Amino acid sequence: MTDPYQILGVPVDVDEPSLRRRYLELVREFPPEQAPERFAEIREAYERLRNPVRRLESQLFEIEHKESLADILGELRSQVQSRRIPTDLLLSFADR
Amino acid sequence: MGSKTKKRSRASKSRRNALPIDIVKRSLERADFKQALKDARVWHRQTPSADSRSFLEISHIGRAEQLLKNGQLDDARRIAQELLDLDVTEASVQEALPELLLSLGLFDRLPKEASSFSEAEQQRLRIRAADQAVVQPEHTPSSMAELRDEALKIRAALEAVERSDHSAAAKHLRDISRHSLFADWKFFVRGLAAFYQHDASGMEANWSRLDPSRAPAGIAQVLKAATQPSSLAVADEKLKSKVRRLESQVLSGTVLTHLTHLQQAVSEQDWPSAMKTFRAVQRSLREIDGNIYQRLVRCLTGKLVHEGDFDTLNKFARFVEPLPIDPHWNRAKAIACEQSEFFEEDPEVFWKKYLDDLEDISTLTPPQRKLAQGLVWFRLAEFPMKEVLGLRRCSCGKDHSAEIEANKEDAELAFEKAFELAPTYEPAYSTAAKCHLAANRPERAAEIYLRLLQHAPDSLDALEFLAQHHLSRGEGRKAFAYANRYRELKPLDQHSRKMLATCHAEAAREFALASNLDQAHRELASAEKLGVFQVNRFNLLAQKAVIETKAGKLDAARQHIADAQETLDEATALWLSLLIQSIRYELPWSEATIYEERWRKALKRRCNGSAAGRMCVLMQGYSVLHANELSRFTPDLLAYLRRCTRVKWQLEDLLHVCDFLGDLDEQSLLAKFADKGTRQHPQCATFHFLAGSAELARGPLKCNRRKTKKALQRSIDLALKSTDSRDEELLEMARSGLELLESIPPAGLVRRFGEMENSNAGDSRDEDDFTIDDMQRIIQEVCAEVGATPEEVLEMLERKMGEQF
Repeated sequence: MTDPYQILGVPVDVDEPSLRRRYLELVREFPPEQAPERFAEIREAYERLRNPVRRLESQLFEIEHKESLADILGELRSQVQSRRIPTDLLLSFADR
Repeated sequence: MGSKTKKRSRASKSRRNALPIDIVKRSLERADFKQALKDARVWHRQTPSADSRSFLEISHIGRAEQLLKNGQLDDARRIAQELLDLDVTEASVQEALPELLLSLGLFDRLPKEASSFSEAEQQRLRIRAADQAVVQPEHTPSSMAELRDEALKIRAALEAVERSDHSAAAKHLRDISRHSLFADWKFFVRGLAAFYQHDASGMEANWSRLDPSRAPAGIAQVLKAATQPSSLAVADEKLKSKVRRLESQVLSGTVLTHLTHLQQAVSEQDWPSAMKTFRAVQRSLREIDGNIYQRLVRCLTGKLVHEGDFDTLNKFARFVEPLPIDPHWNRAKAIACEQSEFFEEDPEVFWKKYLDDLEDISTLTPPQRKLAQGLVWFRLAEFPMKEVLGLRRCSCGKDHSAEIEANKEDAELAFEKAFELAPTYEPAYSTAAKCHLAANRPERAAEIYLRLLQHAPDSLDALEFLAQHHLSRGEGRKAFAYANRYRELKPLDQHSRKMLATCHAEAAREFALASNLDQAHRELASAEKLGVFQVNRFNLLAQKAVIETKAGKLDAARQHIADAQETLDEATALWLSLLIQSIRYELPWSEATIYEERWRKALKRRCNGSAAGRMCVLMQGYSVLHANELSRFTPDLLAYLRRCTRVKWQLEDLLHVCDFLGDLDEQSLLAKFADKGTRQHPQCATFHFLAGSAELARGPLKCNRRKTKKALQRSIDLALKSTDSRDEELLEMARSGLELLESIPPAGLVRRFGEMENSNAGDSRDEDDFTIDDMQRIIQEVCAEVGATPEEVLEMLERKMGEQF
């Protein structure tokens, strides 16, 4: 099974209420009758993380969060995109 | 004279000899406009001519443009003013002059005669002036004052977007028409608002309408390049430099650029470069977003661990802040060692260090720390366990018993620590129990599960194991408590019902042997109520018959036998069942003999697949407890099976027969039945697996490799599509079989090359005298012998040579 944190899209330090909330969101998006494989994957990942022992096993023995560098960079770029650039700085890029 | 002086002397000699026009031209070609201007002034002062004037003007405009580019506006204006005082006559200068003056804010100083531009040129200048009015409103020519108001609206809109006040921005832009010189700026501002809101379609809808030659498009290009790596990858150096400047200002560092390099280095597995880049950027990244920093550390750690690159991980650990769960990197190092092909470092060393780290980890609560330590001890137990397995399989011929014992002790110690620190961690118990079972110590395995039950009374694994453990000893009453609890926890599970029914049946026997026949009846009635005996009802009725016989109620016994016969098309299996039950219930030998005779007589009749299947189930089931008593009947059953040559088999019956033969290790007979199964039930994965395994059991060097591979692969293909849970286990075994086959070179090849090596010793021929023809002949012979293709043989040879060298 691939990284349960990645499947559910939660951080490694997610708390129980947030985990459950995220699980319910995903189940609404991928109900078993419409997306059985995805649902099964989500369910297995949730069972793994909600069980404290299995979660601890994941934290201790699994290879770290298999997030891709591209995803992380994408988020950072998105952050840049959110920051407001001063108008003078923006206009200084006008020379062609 | 020094070399520099010599050079200067040579240069001045060459200048003294050159014509002024050539001197100026040379400077212009080198883009040394400062020198060109200086020389042009001297030339024009000394010998004024049309040429000298022309070059003087060219040098002026070149120098002014250069100063403008360098940001030296005052100096650029001064040179431009000098040029204007000259009265421009050179056509190329006249063409470039308006642009320069516009940039310097001196457009109104443009000579009248130079302002007879074409309509297109005028439009271009107006557009240029509009852009300049937004970017540098102080340079807006007074002759173009009407541009200033609209430019100020654009600036106000930009400032509103900067404040995230989109409604104010929209208000400022409302009056700017589509045909206005500032229409591009309007699209730019709208696109910018979409950019900040991560509205890609809105951004693209506006920015795709921008004129690429104008300033707004230039700014948009920079923003896109900063946030879209594909744009940056194909950007020129000027654009990249602007992106770096943007990053520096917005992110306090060129983080994005560095991370793009990092991504590339990692994809190319260039770890030294990746480490260097990460080191350069980690502080900035931590300041920008600590969470992203941690994720990046996790990502890179994961890649290094996954690749087993211990050395690079070690270097990484020296300068990167560790993750909270791994404060001294011991965990990551341990896993990296485990993943490493070369295993130079010992993972156990790092796991033991990690045990100490776990004492103080702040992200775990004290109970979690203890549990974590237990899990690590369980991990540590696996190393000596694997060592024991390896030593047991070792074919070097040496005696490894001392090492095996030492490793077993280490494993037991580690398991004990795991039990102490993680008392409810079931996998530790089940693994420890499996070790004891593998060492033929079922009592110790049962003790382990009993300990688990103390901490986890509802452990299904423990309950099932203990129930089966006692049943295998004929201790139905002891098994009952565990089976009953199992059934309470899984009331709908068919297996739980069967297990409980078996406990009742076994308890019935115990009571009957203790002469408590009423209780024996009640137990059988409870077993019957569970409803698992529909298929093999005859066996239950046989037990009832035997109990009645024991009680002296022969009529009742005969009735049960008659009822049992009604359930079968023929009675061969019934006689065997009665024989077995007579032995189990310790009936007088005379009774058992009657059933034995009837059974042997029935065996001589025409073979029947259902009877064969039932008999195999009986023998297999009861041989666990009554192996000694029943073993003498095995040859007769085997003889019967050998006679079953023209039977059309039902699937379950044939599976039972194969199961039975597998238990007895009757490989050649099993192979025949498995082949039958592949023909009569080609969609059943088990038969293909059994056929492949039976062939492989001849030895990986002796077996027909093609046949084995085909059978195992077919079983895998069918098992993957199957919903039968039995096929899951089969999948793993089939894959292991294939791996084993792949790992061993063909026997013929091994033998032939052995012959070559041996013959070499006494052969006058040199190794190099073995020709290509010899090789081809050998390979063909091997292919024919073992049923492999030439490609398979060559692949094996390559692998073998790789191992040798």
